[in-house]
Amino acid sequence: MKIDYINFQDFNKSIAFKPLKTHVFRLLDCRGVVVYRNTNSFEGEYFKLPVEIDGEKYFTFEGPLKDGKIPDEFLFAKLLLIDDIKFYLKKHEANKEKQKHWVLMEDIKQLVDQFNIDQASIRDIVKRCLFILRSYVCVEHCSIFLNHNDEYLECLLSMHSGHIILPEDGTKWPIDTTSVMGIAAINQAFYFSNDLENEAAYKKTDFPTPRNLGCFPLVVDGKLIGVLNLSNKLGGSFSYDDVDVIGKLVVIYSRVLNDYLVNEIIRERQTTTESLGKYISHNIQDEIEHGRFSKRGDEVRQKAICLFADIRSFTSISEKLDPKVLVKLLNIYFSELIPIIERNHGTVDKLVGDMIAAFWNVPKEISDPELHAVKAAIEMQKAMVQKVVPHWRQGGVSRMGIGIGLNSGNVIAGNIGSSKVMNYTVVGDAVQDAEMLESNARPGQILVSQRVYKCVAGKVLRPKKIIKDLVFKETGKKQEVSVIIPIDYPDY
Amino acid sequence: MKKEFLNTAALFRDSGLANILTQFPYKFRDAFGREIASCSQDKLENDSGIKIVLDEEPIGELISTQKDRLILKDIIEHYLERFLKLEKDKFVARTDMMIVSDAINFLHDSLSQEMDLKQVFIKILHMLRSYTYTSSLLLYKVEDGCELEALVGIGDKGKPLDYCLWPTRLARCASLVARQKQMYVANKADDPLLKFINNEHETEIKNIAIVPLCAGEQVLGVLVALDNPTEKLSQQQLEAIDFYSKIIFQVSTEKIAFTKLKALKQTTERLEQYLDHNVVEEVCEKTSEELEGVEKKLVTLFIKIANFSTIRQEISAKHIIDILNFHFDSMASIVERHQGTIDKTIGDVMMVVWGHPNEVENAEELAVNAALEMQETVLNSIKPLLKGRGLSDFEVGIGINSGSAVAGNLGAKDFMDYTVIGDSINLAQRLESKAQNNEIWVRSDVVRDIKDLKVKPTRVAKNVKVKGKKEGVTVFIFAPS
Repeated sequence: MKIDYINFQDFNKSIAFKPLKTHVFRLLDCRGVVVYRNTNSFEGEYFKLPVEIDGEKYFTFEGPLKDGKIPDEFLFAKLLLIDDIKFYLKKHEANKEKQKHWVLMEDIKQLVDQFNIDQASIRDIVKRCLFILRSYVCVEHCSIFLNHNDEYLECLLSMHSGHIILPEDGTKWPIDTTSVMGIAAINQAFYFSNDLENEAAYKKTDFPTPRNLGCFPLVVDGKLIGVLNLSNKLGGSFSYDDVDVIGKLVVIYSRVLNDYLVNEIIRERQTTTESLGKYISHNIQDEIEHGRFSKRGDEVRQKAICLFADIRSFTSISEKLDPKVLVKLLNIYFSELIPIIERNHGTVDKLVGDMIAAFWNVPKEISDPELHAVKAAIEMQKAMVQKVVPHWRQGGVSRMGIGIGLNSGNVIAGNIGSSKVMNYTVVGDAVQDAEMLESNARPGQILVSQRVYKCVAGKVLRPKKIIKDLVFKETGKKQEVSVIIPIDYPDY
Repeated sequence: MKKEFLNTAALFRDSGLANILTQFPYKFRDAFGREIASCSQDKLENDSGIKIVLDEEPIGELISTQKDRLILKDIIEHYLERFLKLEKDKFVARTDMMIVSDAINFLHDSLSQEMDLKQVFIKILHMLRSYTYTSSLLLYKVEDGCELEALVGIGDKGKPLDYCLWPTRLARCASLVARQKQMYVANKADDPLLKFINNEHETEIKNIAIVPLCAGEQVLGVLVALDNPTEKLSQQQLEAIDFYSKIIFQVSTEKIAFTKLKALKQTTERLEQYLDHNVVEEVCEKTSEELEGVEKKLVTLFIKIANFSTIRQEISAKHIIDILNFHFDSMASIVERHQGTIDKTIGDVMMVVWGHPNEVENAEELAVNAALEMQETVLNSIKPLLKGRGLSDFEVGIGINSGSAVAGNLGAKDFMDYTVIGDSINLAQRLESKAQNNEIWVRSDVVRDIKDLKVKPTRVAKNVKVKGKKEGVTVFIFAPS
């Protein structure tokens, strides 16, 4: 075998020729090709001096006999040439070793690069993995299986004689002790055999038993990602060198594949979070994302400005409308008003039918919460007249308008509800009073409690009137209330 | 090649020279004049010899016959040179293998995603240092595209290197490299970049390699190797630095992904707590078009705390929340057992729906049975328990109605409620507002649809007027027994 590595022409400047300066000779390689000569022809009798190592002939010196025998210098040259060949072979081994790991380094770098550059599909990554593998250990068949919930392994991609094959559906192997792959997966340890016929663990299938087989689990952090499976090494059996290099590649494969799978889960989760996020106010999501999430029972006492808005005589309006049209019209109304609240730093608490409940200064304290709240209320009434009412009129509702109530006070803010469904909301007298104010507001009116108004006086629209003693029917409480009417409703 | 480093005797032996030279009379003295090899020396006439040179440096003297002298000199020099080159190649190959194996073993055995990234980096830098022999290795992190932040560094004896000891001008060079996305190597003191750094630095840096941690357009950081004590950073050392930069990149991206996933998981879990699990499934699986209004037949239940305003005057606000949460918890588990979906809670009121988002069979029966169980739980467990805590009374009122309603996303693009809306729901709420003293008010149509009603209603109220409705409705009332 060794002789195959040799490029005989590399010896045409061998040190062995040094002592032969005064001699006429030529050197032939084992195939009879001339490697070196310093004459074209010999006269008279000539000798043939073979150069052999371990019985294998590498070269032959040829030259004329001197005094009927081979000159001493040739014997010395032969020794030098033998050393030269030995070094040549050692150097070749060293180079091979050097190159193997250098190439391995380059391959690993490329794999890391490629994965991160083009967000390749998992099949592309696996394809690349299999091609790299085949450049180190030439096997007839190799494939990568992915772990599904630790239940079974499913083939992702195979390569047969250098061709990529998409697996047929149902190429699954259970993760149990019924197959060598299952055993490798369970033990998270590689398995290889060069003598499958006599392997107790190997269960014969309909396919011809391969000559040899290797199963290398892909593991990251103790978690099984999948298994690399290879069989029928071309021209021989798996050597420990092969196992060593596959073992190294497998570590990188596991990480790259794991990366891909983790990123896929991240993408899925992101969609979920986005879907769920639509149902929860931005301000509360911010708190959650910044780790300031309070558990149930972690309520805080805090000043809050509460806003309630409601469509007047909604029940009688809704009775006359087709429910689907009603939903459409309601969504137009919500789509105009909710962004106004969020733009003005408010937190939408909930929608109850046609009612919007919102608050300011919770969960995060802000400066001038009253001003933001009143401004939002004014904008809302304007948006109603300018944008919402025309749509509703087209939908057949000629008269509609909202009343808004605003109040502030100390409330308990926190997650309230059951452990299964909770609601970040505020509870307290101030909340109920705000709702009362709203129910007393006529279409187009914003009823602002005195506590709120005195913080914004002079900074916003002057109230149309002030009601000194507004009595709440339900509780009998009296309040001084400012009535702000930002814009006239055309039909009221 | 320093002659002091060479063990010429060992070289003679290992390279096979001693063997080959037995053919000749010779003596060999090393650079210090010691005789280290000889053969048939009695045949040598005099002591005069010839210098043996390796890498342009004399390493010893050969004494031999005039005839052999030149040839032997050539042979000895050739053998030694060839042998040393092979040894060096072997060493390089072994080092390459170790560079790869170290990194792979680290990735496989020692790296856990729970580990602190800085500790991981320090470990990797230590490994790298055993190949580069540089006095320090520093790692910068790229923040927001181009800002550099010092992350970790190791210095003399592998100890962590405090940031204040890092060359001040290095960061600017590193950010340059980060932008160029190409490795920068300076092995000579007159390199402009090295000069620029050395101007500000007390000890002179002899050589430097600055490597961006990048793949494609993405740059995560910069790795800097400073000051290899020999003249320059060898090709292999540069390869090692380059290779480890990729390993660091890989580890960083993994950690980034891992942290992101962990945060996302937590966020989702927390967001899910705000919605009924039936709703979570629905809104995650369906597209927004599929979530548009659909007309459905539903049963709706409202339960309020009938004497809530009295309770609020009786106890502190903090305790009210506890009572609310306790009450809602008990009700929620009853709802779950009866396959209902909690739509929302509004102050002390809870709204429960059957038939949305998932369809259920016998919705009417489930709703009435749930209501009866709620009534029983309030009377037999919640009320006595709260009485023990000093609350004089605890009453609920329940209203149930069935009918068609529109189910779907209600609200604005960024704040929605996946809920139900319609007359039948409003009526359920009106019935709830009329129910006092733990009564359950159920519209007659609901009861009519139940085949096997276990508890008979206490009384029937005909022509009940509710707000917003002109016509009265017939209501079955279940008062507590």
